[in-house]
Amino acid sequence: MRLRIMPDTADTRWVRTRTERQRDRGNFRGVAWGVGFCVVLALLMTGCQGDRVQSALHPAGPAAQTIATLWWVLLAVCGIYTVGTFALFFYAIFRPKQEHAAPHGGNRFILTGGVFLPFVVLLGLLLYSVQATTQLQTPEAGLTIRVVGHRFWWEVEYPEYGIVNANELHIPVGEPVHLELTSGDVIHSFWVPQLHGKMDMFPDLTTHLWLQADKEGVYRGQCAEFCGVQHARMAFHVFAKPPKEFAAWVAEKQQSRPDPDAEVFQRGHQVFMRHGCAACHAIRDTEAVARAGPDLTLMGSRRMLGAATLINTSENMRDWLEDPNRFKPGVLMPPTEDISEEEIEALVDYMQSLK
Amino acid sequence: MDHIEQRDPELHAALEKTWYSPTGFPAWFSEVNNRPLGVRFMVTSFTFFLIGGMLTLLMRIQLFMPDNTFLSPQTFNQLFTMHGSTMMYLFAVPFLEGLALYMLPQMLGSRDVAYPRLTALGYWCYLFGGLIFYTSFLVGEVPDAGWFAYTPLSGRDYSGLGLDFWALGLALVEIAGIVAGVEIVVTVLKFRCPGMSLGRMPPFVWSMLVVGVMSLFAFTTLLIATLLLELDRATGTQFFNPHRGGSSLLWQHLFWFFGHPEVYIIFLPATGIVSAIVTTFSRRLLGYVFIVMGMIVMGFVSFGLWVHHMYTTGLPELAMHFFAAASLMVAIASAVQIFAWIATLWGRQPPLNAPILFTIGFVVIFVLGGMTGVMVAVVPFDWQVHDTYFIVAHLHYVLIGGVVFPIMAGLYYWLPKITGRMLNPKLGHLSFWLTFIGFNLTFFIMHVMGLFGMPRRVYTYAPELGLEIHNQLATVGTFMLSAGFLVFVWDFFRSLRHGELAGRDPWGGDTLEWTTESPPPTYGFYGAPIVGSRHPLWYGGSVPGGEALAELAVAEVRGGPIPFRATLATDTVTGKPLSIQYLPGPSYVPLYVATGFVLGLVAILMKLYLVAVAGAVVAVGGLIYWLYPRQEVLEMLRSSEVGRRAGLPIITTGTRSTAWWGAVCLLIILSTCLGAMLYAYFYIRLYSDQWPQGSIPAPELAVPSVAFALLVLTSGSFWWANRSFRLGKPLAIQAGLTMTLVLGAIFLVTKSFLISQIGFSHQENAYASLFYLFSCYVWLQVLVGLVLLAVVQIRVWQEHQDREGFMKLHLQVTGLYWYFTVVAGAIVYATLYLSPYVL
Amino acid sequence: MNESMGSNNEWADSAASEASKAIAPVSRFRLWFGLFGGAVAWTIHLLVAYAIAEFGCVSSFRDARFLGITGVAWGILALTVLTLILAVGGLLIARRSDRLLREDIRQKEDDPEAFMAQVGWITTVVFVAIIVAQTLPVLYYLRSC
Repeated sequence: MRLRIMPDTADTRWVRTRTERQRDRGNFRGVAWGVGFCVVLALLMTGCQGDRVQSALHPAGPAAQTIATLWWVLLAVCGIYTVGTFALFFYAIFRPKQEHAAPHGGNRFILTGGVFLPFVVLLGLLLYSVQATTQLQTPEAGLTIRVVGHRFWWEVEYPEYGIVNANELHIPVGEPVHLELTSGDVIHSFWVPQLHGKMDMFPDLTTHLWLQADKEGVYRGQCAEFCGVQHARMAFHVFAKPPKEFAAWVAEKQQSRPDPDAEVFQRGHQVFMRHGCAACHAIRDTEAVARAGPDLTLMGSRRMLGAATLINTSENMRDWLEDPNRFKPGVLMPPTEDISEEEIEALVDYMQSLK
Repeated sequence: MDHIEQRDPELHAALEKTWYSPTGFPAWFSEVNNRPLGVRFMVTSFTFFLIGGMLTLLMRIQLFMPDNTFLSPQTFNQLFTMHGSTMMYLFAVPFLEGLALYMLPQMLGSRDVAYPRLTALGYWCYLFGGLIFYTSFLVGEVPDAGWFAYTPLSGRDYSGLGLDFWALGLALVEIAGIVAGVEIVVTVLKFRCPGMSLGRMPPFVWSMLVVGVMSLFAFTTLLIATLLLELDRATGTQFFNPHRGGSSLLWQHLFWFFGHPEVYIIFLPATGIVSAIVTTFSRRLLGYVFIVMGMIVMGFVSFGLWVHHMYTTGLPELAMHFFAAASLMVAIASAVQIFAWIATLWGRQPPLNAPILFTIGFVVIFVLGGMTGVMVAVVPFDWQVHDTYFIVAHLHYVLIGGVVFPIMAGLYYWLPKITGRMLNPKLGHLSFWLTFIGFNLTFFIMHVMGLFGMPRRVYTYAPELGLEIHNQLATVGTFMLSAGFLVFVWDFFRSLRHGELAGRDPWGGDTLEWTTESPPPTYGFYGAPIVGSRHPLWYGGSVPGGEALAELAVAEVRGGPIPFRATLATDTVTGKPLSIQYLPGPSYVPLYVATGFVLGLVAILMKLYLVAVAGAVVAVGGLIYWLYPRQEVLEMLRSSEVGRRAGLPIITTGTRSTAWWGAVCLLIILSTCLGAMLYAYFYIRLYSDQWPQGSIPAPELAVPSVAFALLVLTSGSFWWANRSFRLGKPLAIQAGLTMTLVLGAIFLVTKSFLISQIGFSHQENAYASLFYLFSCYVWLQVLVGLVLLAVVQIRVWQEHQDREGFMKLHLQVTGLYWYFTVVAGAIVYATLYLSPYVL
Repeated sequence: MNESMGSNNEWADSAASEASKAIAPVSRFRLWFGLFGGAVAWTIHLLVAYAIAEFGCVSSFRDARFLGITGVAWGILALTVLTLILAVGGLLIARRSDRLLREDIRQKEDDPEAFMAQVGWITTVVFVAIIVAQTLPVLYYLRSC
């Protein structure tokens, strides 16, 4: 077989005329500018939108603050590197044609840009990363909260105070809170972006995380590990309160239990037992002790229903009890069947009285 | 159009006859040639790509508004599971395998790949695996635990039949992946044309060599992981069951030990494609050494990154930082390639045609994806963005930018070779701008969505997150992106009829595929080309005296065409011609074996275990028929004059033979199997307070020790038989082999007895499951070894005189397997019987 | 032209090729070791360091200390020294092969030996860098995991 020598310009099949090339490049630049403009516009538009309830870029505590700072540093470093690379790349493509053109230094250019510089920059980032990680190690925390992930809700327990709640964490402002995380079934992940990064929850391991809120407020959290059909509606809220208010909350909730003499209890609790709610739910100091579903001792005090699916109003709760599948298809709670108007009203009143 | 290769019509006709591609029914199913099968791989996988893409349109419509009810949550979960699985398992890897199977022999100057029938087996396994995946839609049991299928969610307690479709379909696709790995490695190492030394291989070939080796490790690990998962689901073992001593986290380790290299398995060939295009249109390639270095570094380091998918699982911080360091540093391997391309393009003014445009798109998008990759390698930052849309953005930047764009570039570049027709340049531009803008519109904004708190894999999101406008833009972008791909598809079909004829070399490329006609003849090359540089079509390739023909071609010119399929095998390093390799022709056996696999797996799916056994029998019978040496072929090779005319042997042994290299690949696969199982054993051991778990006593030592000692002894007797073979002592050979067989059989019987005497069920706890797993593994390993030994014994009986030829190779290959069996047996003994007392 | 003649001759005449092998300045083993020594050292480093960290930080070994530094950290530092010796050894051998082959006028850039030596030392440099990078975090964890 004969193989030919191919000099630089011998092949004309794909070589376009000068004007064609200029037109090509003009088109390319036009569209590229358009794309850049769109990207910047999109960035600007997304940057200045008001309230963020679940944003890693709106930190409300020291841990999230450390990570947010880390992000801005990473963005700056990687941004500069990207711009530099793009500049070189497009300069290489569009610079005037030369027979033996090569970047200054030849192989040294590749070694510097492709090995040496990245190594130095990445080493810096690595050390910063390790530094930030050690900064985020659990501080001596006063309060411990146990959180158990369930399909598709959160069990929250204060072992020191004997309080059991669901889908809501109440914490004091300005103090680190230690979390013990585990799961009742599959893997979940606990994540409140405004306070800290996420941590997975396993059925066979206990993992640890700590939170600290520096500002009073409500922070949204959500399950971040795919856990099944209603993974999307497995959210919760963290209520950060000044220490005094928190202490008052604890004192109040430690005492919570239904009043057996109250009228709502006598009407509602019967319905509760008759319709099998006690098969999954517990209410303190009653015969309902099951823990398959959320503990209902504090039901009336919760802000949301169904792991942050609906706002907890009597109306919503009524609809929810009739058929939770309407709002959260695939939820493990069955619809309440054969329940009369009166009964359901009694049940809702009873639930709302549990605070 | 200058004809590079002067065609001798008579020789052409003769070669066409030898290398015919069967057509019509049912002969079509017996195809083994690499080019038609490569095309089948590409067409099938591109079809899956379009289907997988359509699934995203539905998902993006659902996410257009918060609290949308277009899709049910169940359906949404099924769709994203199928989207991920389709793109990762059914599109990216098989497409690039197909491209490699088609292009490698073309670029290497050989006539086919190393094991033609294995190519066919790979294709049928892949096709059936993909069909099993999608049959789940017909049954209404679609897998819905994500393409990663984390346990325990994917276990029998939480997932239905859909997951069985997933695991079994995947098993077949993995077999295809492993098979392609073997195929690619041996082809690249042995079938390079004369003169193509390691330093002259085109970058695409280098990338495929690295990928081939990686596939052996990565897919085998996944195969073991899915096997354990399916055992858990079908037979009730407890490997991943946290309530019975198993580990919920073990799956993630095994899965990502495959999963991360997988990303590089598809990214590396993409860089190879880009290097080819950049070289052609710059008329040079600078930094070849750095590009190869980058590929080798990626090949290794990609196996050391798996933990960066698990930063949020509460591992010891120190352990995470090793992986953080490796994850950051692997960026060097990409950066060095990008700088080599920059240097190559410097001042060369490439034409802005479709291949180059897609290459530019690739660099832009991939650099951005690489940067976010660096960001998520930083441990605390990953704690925030892990499993959010930031990662969705990152992975699509890396996979669409890093793989799909180069694939598109490669299609515009190589389709003229494959179909013989040019694609339309204007439509190419349109397709590029639609995909490029659509892509960035869809995914750039997802970085922001992730930072603002949108988790992955949610079928809806709360209005209070304030992410409506972002999601709407992303949805619009997706449709634009899809339109871009549709333009390409339309252009493709249009070009088949109306495209300009491409000729041999439409781009003025530098590599050997451009020397043949477009499309290439069934036999590929008329004679093996001779290569004297990295760019053989540009310079250094011409040989003084005009007609440069390698030995194979010399033989054909002098003695007429070789009457059987053959290609030239060369030295792995220097590319010096070593032998003429016989290659088999069309065969139904691969289809038969694949059908056996499918029958077995589908039967498991339907819980018809007897049918499953029948399927296994069909497959194993097919394999034995396939591998059993054909006397008539041996006779034909022995009596052939071709070797003498060419001055090269036809029957080879040791490193000269493809069979030996195949056996080495098999050993890599088997040791990876063993390694993955050992990892599972010691991982579960590490997280158990008590070992053996539960009330199970530590195993008795006496009988197993004797049995395993016998197994170790067989290595001595086998060595003796081998030595006697070299010295030509027929009786001693027989005695040595018989001794090996008998000792092995005693081991097997004892082991069977031991297994039947185990005092607990495999469902008892994870320890029990592991005990059964290892016992059955060693039993099976020895059983296969004994079958091989028996075949050798029979054949030695027949032809012990054949001391330099085929018999020697047969003994070598069997020896590799048997020595490995002995070593594996010793390791299993130490693990199963000794370690409970020591650790 | 010269190049093509050289490359054609290098395998066309097997006797000549054998002869050239005999006087080739670098053995095959050195070439392969130069090419993969660093990679193998890195593989050992990552896997063993991971095993030490995972095992050491989960088991009772966690609290073992020598000279105020944890056993885990000692183990990893020792491992680094060993693997660096291996990797740097590979690097030096590859460098030396590269120099020798450059001096050998019969060797050109794309000849397999010269090529392997060249890729070898560049690759090994990167692996040495990665091993060093993987060790640095240990300095932050001398007293705990």
